[in-house]
Amino acid sequence: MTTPPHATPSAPTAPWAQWARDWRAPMLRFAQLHIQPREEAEDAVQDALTALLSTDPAVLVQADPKRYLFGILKHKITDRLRRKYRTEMSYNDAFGDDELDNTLFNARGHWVDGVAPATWTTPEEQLHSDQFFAVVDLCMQKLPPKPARVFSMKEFLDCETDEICTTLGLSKPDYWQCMSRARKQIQLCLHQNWFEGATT
Amino acid sequence: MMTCKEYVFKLTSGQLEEADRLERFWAGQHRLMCRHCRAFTRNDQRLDGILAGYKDQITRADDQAKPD
Repeated sequence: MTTPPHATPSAPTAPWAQWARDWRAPMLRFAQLHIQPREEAEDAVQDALTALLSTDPAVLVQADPKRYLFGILKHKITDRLRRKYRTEMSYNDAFGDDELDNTLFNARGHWVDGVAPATWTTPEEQLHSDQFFAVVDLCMQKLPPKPARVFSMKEFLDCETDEICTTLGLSKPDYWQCMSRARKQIQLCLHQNWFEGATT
Repeated sequence: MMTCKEYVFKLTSGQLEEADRLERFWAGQHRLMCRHCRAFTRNDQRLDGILAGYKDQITRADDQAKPD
C-alpha cells in the first residue's frame, strides 16, 4: 500500500490505495447511472477518491468502505447534477404527449388489450442472477435521460423529493411525471424482456 | 371514478403515498374492481426489491463479484 507523503510514521495507515483498487469500478458503474458521458462520471469518482486523501486516517481505518465511499460519491454526483441541470425545461416541454401512456392506455384511460399487466410469478431466487440483472441494466439504459436522472436520484442516491427538485430545477408535477414514466417503463421493459411467458 | 391511467399515475409517481384518506379509499376501490391494476400494483411493489438487488449488485466491490 502506498503511504501518502504527508503521513507521519506514527500515524495510522490509511487504506486509500486498497479502497481505490477495490471500489473504483463499482463507483464508476454507479456514477454512470446518474452522469453521462463516461468521462464526467469518471471525474465524479476521481473527486470522491481525492476527497479521501484529506480525511483523517484514524477515521478511515474504522469506517465501512462501501458506506463511506458511496456517501462521498453521492455528494459529488448531486453537486454535478445541480450545476448541470438547474434550469431544466419542464417534462411536457421535453416530451410533449407521453407516448408511453398512449401505448398503455386507450382514450378512456383503460388498459389497452395486449399490454395490460399480469402478475409476475418468477421465483425470487431467479431474480438474483447475473442474467436477470443484465436485463434490469438494459431497462435502466432505455429510460429517457430526464426520467432516468430523477429515478436514479430517488431510488439509488436515496434523495428526498425536495432535494431532487432543487438539484434538477424541477417543479413537483414534473417530478411526478418523471417518476411515473420511469416506473411504468421499467415494469413494461422487465415484463417484455424477462417475465413474459411466466405470468398468470 | 378513477381510471386505470389515473390510478397508475398516482401509484408510480409517489402521489398515493402522500394522499389523504379519501384519495387512498378511491384508489383501493379502483384496485378492487380492476385485476390489471391489482397485477400492476403487485409488480410495482416487487420492483422495489428488484431495484434494491440491482443497486447492491452494481455497487459490489470487484473482489466480491469474482467467483471463488
